[in-house]
Amino acid sequence: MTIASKVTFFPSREAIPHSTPGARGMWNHGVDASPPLPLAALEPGVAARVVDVPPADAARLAAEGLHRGDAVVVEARLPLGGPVVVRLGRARLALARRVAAAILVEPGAPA
Amino acid sequence: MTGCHLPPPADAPGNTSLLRPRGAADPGGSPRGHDPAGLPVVALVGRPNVGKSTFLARASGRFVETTNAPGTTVGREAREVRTRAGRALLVDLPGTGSLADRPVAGPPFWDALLATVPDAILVVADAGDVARHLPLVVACRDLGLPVVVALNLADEAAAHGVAVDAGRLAQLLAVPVRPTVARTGRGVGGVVALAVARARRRRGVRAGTHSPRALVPADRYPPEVERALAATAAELPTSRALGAAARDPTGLGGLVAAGAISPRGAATLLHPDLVEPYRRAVAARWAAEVEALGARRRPLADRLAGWSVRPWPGLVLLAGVLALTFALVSVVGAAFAGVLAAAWAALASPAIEAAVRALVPVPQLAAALLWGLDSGILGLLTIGIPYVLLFYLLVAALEDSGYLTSLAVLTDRLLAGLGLSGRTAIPLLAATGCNVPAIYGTRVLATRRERVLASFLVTLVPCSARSAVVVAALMPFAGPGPTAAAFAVIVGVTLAAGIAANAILPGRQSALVLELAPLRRPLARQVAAKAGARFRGFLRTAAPVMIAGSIALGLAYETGLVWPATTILDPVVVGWLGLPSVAGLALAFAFLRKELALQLLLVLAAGTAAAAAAGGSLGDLMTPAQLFVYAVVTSVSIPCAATLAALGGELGWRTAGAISAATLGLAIGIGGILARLLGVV
Repeated sequence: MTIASKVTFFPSREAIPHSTPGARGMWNHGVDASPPLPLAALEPGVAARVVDVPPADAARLAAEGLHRGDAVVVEARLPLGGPVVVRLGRARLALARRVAAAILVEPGAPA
Repeated sequence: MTGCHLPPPADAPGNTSLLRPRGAADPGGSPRGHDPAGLPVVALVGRPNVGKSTFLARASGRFVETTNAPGTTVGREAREVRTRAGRALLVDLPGTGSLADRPVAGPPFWDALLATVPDAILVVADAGDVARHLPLVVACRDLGLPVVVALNLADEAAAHGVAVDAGRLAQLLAVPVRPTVARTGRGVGGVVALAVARARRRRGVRAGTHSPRALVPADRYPPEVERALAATAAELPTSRALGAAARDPTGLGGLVAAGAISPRGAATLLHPDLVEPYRRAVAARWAAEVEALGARRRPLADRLAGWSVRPWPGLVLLAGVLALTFALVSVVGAAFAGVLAAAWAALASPAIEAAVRALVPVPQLAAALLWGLDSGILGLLTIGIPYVLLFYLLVAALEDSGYLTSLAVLTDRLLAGLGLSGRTAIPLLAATGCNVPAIYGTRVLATRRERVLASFLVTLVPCSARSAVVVAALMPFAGPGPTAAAFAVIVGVTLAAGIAANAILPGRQSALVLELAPLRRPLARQVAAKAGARFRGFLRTAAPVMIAGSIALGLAYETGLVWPATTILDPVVVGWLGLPSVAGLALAFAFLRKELALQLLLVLAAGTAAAAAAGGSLGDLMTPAQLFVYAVVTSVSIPCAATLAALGGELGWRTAGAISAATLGLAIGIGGILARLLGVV
């Protein structure tokens, strides 16, 4: 038995951006958020919060570190339907336009 | 320091470790179930782009290619390291976002990790982005193995104004945490020694003298999660007897029974979706606690990285990089090839010829051997060293600089029209040097469909040898205009074939999801080591095929066996393409040595009645229009033998055959059309 085994380091379930639909209350808290729009339509430079990730892409996006609840900023949009470059914390992610179009974000959320 | 290569992860489903009982000794000789008296094993785990390969190089004192990067073999490498805590085996693993990630639809990452039977895990994390890297640390610690964390890229973090309290983080994680700078080697030796010390103690645990719990305290998830984990852990089959594999499809039960990981650790691997959100949440909380963010101007490398993916100035930068690459390869490579050929003719060639003629009494056999040992090796050198090695150096430098991911973003839209994602830009660029490494480079692509499409395009892209044939055939006899036109035709055919293949092949293109690497100055030693390792791989594939192919060609020519083939080929070559009969033979045998397509034509022509008329010059043998047809058909038709070998090995022989048949059909089709347009027929 060690000290650590007696202590819970992890936060309670309520503090987790959970993967069930509609459980995004925590992120809207106290913020006058705009309606969700596709990540592909977000203007470069505008901070937003991911509110929905399509299940088909969820695993691939999670592997690259993009989850529901994450704060994102679009850094660049390539012309003619090219990929969208997204800043995610200190990392940058390139997403094909159709992947970005399926991700819903709420602009105006603080980073 | 001695290193040994572990076998790469098996591809065939029947051969994966998932289906094998873990406790049993491995017949393949991998370290799974290895001798407990052997060296303790430390597994190196980290996200991509965290500098893990540089870290391994510094830890072992040897710069060698290790990463799962474009154009490389995807495998694992183990290296013996000596530290003040003793000796150990340091095993490198590909970069991963989490233990559950499946690279290219293979088994999950933890399967490869546990296959190394680690006694401790050394996690390399980014000191500048703790929140993103900590979930992997927590996941590793959940396994019930000793974990040590190297907070790498400490210098870059400082440049970004990020200061991490490593001591506090170590308290929170209950594992040792040390800042490191792998580029310079700072802190690497110390953190590796820590990991080795823990691995050695773990050996004591497995010998039964310690309890694992005493070494690795595990944090608790909320009660309902812990209950689910405990229930799963209790259900794990623990028998190591025969037949256990059937009840233990993941092999985790056997691992737990063997004491390799804790039952709770096995349960966390089976429930990644349950625990991963908590890991991310706790990582964010701890990161906020240990990080101090100073106000700094964004470093120049960051701003450059930002510009490199914007249409302006990114596309201009891309054009510059591509132009520089082609200029270096075509000008420097060609000059270097000329010097090598001259040196070979002056020094090696006479000696080889004298030796072969002295040793082999049959003149025809000696001549055939000389085709392989003299001109075959010369061909290998003049293609391999100037074009392939130079290209590998350039690609390795671009790769280590992080620019290749920007390249993928910029070219994604263009390649989407061909059913490919931006990741394909790298192999396609490599194909202009040599198709063989480019076909290996398609390994990084996500789906088999994408690999087949990309490999097909790669075989159509003229490599340095085929470009040389086009230039040598057309420049002197037709001028620069037709030469450029021939390349335009080849590019047009490639694009059209790519669009058609995308429409024909069932399935849909996988969409780009790619983490962009930060821009860094590449380390010369690492670039050289990477290029060297890949070049050796190229030689292993290309050398036997090229030398054996040349000898076969020599035998066919010296014994006169080539001539009956003429009558078979005449309807197509003479009737449809409008070329002289002998060109058919040259085209057929160019399969063995593409760069010899023109020399073959002259050599073969000298043996026919046309010899007198030809007078030893291509211009006398064929009209400029015929040369145009010949150059395009040579370039587009069937890939060379070395490329075919690479295709067969990578995609299977049926696919390789289909690709070859498609290119042959395409070449004959476009050749006939050109012959009619140019008035040859």
